[in-house]
Amino acid sequence: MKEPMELHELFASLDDPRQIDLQGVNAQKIQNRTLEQLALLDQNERPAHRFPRKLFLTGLAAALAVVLAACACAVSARVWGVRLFDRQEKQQLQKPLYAVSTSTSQPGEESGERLLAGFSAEILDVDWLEKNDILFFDEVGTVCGVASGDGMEFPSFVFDNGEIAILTKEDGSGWVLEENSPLALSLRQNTKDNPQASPGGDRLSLGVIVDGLPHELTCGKDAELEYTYIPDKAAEVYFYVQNFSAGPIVIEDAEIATP
Amino acid sequence: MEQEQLVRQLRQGDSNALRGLMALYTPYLCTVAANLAVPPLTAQDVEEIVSDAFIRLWRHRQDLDPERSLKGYLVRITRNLVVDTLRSRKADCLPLVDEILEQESPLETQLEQQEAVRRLKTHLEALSPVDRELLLRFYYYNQRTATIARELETSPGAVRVRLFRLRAQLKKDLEGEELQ
Repeated sequence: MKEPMELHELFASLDDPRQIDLQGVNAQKIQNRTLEQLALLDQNERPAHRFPRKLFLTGLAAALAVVLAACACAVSARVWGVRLFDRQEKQQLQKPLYAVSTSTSQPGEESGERLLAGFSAEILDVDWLEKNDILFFDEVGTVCGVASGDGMEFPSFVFDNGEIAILTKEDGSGWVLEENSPLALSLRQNTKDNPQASPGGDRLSLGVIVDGLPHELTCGKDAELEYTYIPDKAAEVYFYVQNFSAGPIVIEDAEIATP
Repeated sequence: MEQEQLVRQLRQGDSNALRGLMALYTPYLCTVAANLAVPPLTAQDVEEIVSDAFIRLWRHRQDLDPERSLKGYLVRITRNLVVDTLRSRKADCLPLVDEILEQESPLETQLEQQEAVRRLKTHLEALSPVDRELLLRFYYYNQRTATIARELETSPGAVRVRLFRLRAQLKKDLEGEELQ
């Protein structure tokens, strides 16, 4: 049976002709240190006749450690119901596609995760994501609003290329809407104070997460954006924005209201 | 120098073979270590890691498999040493360690190393320049997806998705039956 090969190891067998940047490292120092360390190791090597004794003692210590650990596990299982971690079980667990942490929204609250999508092998499948034109969530953060009149106002925030900001209520929840009841979002890109911004605005995608599934609504470069979403069924809805430009975008005056 | 000859010389305790290997592979291994752990490692850390990789190679010279690439073996040791070093720095570096370990992709192949390398070259030649560049940056230079995304002016998510698809295609080619 062959030892498994890693792709990094296999690729290392190639010869890429590009010039390699040593990134401030001194190759001569490495060679000198290696040879010095090896010389020291040679000096410290023990006589050969001690090897069998060392092997016996190491084996004995290992056997005692195994017996002790087995006893500890057995006692733990019987007394506290504790059992060893099962690696296979861990591998069978699927990671959520994304999660909204309410701990960032509520500073005093106990940390915890509020899943939007749950565990779904289908959603994690990249082919499925591409086929259905679904965004591959990468860096996701939440921005929590503050109630103001009939709507919810959001503090200014900055996010970078590819990053997604999900707009939530004060408690980290979304808007529970009835069928055909509209929800309006408006926001403005601050291009004046952002040295990397284009004067007319940068490319930004706007979408909704409906009962845990993201849908893109529009993608454009308008510095000011207004959108009214009307659900075709009763659902919990979040608006999200994703930065599709090369540099950071500063969002200001974001507001969500039910008109 | 041929691989088998180098392994034979190393097994015989010929330190000149080790010096030759160091002259040959030090720059590449430094790149691997620095790219993997940017930015928590200093130049001195990288020097120690690469030096330790050669020391470990020397100490395990009797166990070397002449059919496996020495350069690949050194990369594996270097990656492990980077992970060990980052782990020793505790909490700050643990997310980075997890990310590095997730990148590892063992091949379920019965191919001989030479055949696997031949297939890999053929596969790379058939790819578009952009896809080839992506694979080389990730697997040969061990660059992180964030760095690749920055240098290729795209998003880390797009890089990961593309790598996922490229890796699936590549594994299909490499895990197939050995040609007779």
